[in-house]
Amino acid sequence: MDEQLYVKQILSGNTSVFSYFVETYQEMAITIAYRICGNQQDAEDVVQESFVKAYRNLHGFRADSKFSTWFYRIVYNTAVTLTKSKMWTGYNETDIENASHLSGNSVDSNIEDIEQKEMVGDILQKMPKGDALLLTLYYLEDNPVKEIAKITGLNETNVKVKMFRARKLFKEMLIRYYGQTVEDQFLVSF
Amino acid sequence: MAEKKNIEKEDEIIRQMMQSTKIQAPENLKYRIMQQIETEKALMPQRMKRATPHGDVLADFRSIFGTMYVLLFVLSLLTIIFGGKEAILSPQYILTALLIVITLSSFWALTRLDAFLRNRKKTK
Repeated sequence: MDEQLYVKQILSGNTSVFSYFVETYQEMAITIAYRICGNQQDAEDVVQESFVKAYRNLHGFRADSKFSTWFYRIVYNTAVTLTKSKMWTGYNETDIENASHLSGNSVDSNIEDIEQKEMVGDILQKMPKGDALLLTLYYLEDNPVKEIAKITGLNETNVKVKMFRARKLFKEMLIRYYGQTVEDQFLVSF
Repeated sequence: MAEKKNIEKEDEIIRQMMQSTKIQAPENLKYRIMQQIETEKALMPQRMKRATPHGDVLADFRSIFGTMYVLLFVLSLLTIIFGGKEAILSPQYILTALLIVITLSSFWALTRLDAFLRNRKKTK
């Protein structure tokens, strides 16, 4: 069903319809919040506050934009405000180099022994928050660069540059942290 | 071509890896949110307003330019009745018609500017 119709129903007073939006977007919202806050409890608080903000400001939602983009922007702003996070602090090569210290006890780890979820989650936790967020928005929900730019408030060129660096850092950290096996098994293409 | 394929393959691998990182929302979160929203609604019903009418471009367009054409029609009719067909080409008639067109067009432009500024203020 059309989300615009749901929005109209909520604006006309049928609050229960809002549960559709909660159901549909809560998981991605909590994932975004978690990337910024770094812990589950704060992420839940951010998501709750964001939904309430979205409800209060629903009359300001424009029909020509996607609800998800509009809502994720609220989640992003709420999380950044709550944690007073610096999302885009520079890292460049130093972070990639810093990743190498993590490899000490894991170089020989076999990928079969490591839960992939834990491994990727671990890498994302160690990456700069902004980079982890970009990867999440791009790969988890297939958001186009244009939508990511709207959510994060960056311009499209900036998003592309940061995405390129984030991908590079992710790959570097994955290899350095979990060893050659990862490169062989997962990332044969680069 | 091969490089593009590699990037696509690489993207697919990262995408697959990322799928496992989606965080599950706790079961009671939806309940908590809906309860807060219901409370919000009960406490401040005035906040829930329908979309404001000043955003309707077509309605503004129809009413302002509709008035303009009605005025021009009346002006033309009166000019023909009192001055004959030749009066339509007189500078007096042309200037008056021009004044009506400029005034109402400016009014429409100001209305749109006002709606735009209000919307921007609201979305901030």
